[in-house]
Amino acid sequence: MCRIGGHVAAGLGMAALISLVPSAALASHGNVIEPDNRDHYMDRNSLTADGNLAATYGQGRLDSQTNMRATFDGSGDVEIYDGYYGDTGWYGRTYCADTGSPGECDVFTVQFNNSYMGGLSDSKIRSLGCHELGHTASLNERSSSSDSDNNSCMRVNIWPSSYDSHDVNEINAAVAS
Amino acid sequence: MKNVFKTVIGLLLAMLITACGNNGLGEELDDHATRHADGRETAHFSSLVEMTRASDLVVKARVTEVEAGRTVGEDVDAPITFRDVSLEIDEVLFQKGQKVAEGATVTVEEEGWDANGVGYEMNSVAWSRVGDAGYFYLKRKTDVADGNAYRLVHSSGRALIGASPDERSSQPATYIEISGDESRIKDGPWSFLADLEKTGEPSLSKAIRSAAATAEAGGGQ
Repeated sequence: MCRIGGHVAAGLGMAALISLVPSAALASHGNVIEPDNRDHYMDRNSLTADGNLAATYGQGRLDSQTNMRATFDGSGDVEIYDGYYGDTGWYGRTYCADTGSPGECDVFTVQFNNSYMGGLSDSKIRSLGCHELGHTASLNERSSSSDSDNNSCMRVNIWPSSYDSHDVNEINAAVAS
Repeated sequence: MKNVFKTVIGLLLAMLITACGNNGLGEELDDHATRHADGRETAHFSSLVEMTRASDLVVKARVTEVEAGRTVGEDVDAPITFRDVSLEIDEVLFQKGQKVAEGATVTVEEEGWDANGVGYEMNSVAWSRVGDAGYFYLKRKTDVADGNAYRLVHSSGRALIGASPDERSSQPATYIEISGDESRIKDGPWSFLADLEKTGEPSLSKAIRSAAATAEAGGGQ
């Protein structure tokens, strides 16, 4: 949320000033919430073929590109679901279902929306998996200004299929301790 | 008399505690959001004209009621429950398809609560509150019968305008509150805001209306 605070000084005839004020709504770390450690055990909960494609690709990207040990051999860090959630406006989403220490998450929930997935190509589904599992590894979305070479799957308007060096550094820093 | 008073107070407290109700699964629902969900959206817009054109309804409206809505995804172990936000329409700026009249009330489904009744904001869209007023960019939901429910066309599809006390001045402060993540706002349809510093709500309103007129005329393509 972006609140633009203004001050109307009618007596001076000035127009209201607008300044961008970051929301202080929920997390003290903005929207960044980190995994509790580098071991990232993921559960696939009765996924469809599309959900499985997204999940396995995202797990593979995390495990091969970063210092995280992302695996389906074990459980408890990431619960992955897919379902027909209807016309929600999102292909997939991630949130922390069980918070641990401040700024860390014990259990993430990832949900893919089958109501839209059928309309995506396999390459976009892979990109989506990379994107949503990137959120479980501390990543926020990237904009064109922060990803000028357009190669991060954390973008929202294009569909790259891997993490770029910025993403990898962020993840590795988050799980370094 | 004292017993009657205690009973009334007890009933009032019980009503307050359960005011948010339960979802379709019988879980009690939080009265405020404590979590944040990030989702890859199905749409992205680089201008207000684009966002307007993609909307079914763009209105100036106010929130008159909020209550628990339907639950979806019950076939998996991760359902979500929507918040039904009632919007009373002051002015229609753009619409297509099924017509909605000024003065009508429409329902906007907003997220929401998870399977355990925990409240969360979706893509930093703060929960609507009764009394909120401003501009709403709405998409008719395709999975609700009769087209009687909407959602924001994008997480940054709401611009609230309000007044809050300003301790520094005897004049009230006005604010504009754009929904959604700051990165999406700066990289999306409101990117022109950086150029609107030192201007105020009238300019925002003018920009919204201009975009609506352009979209209506089929321009900006």
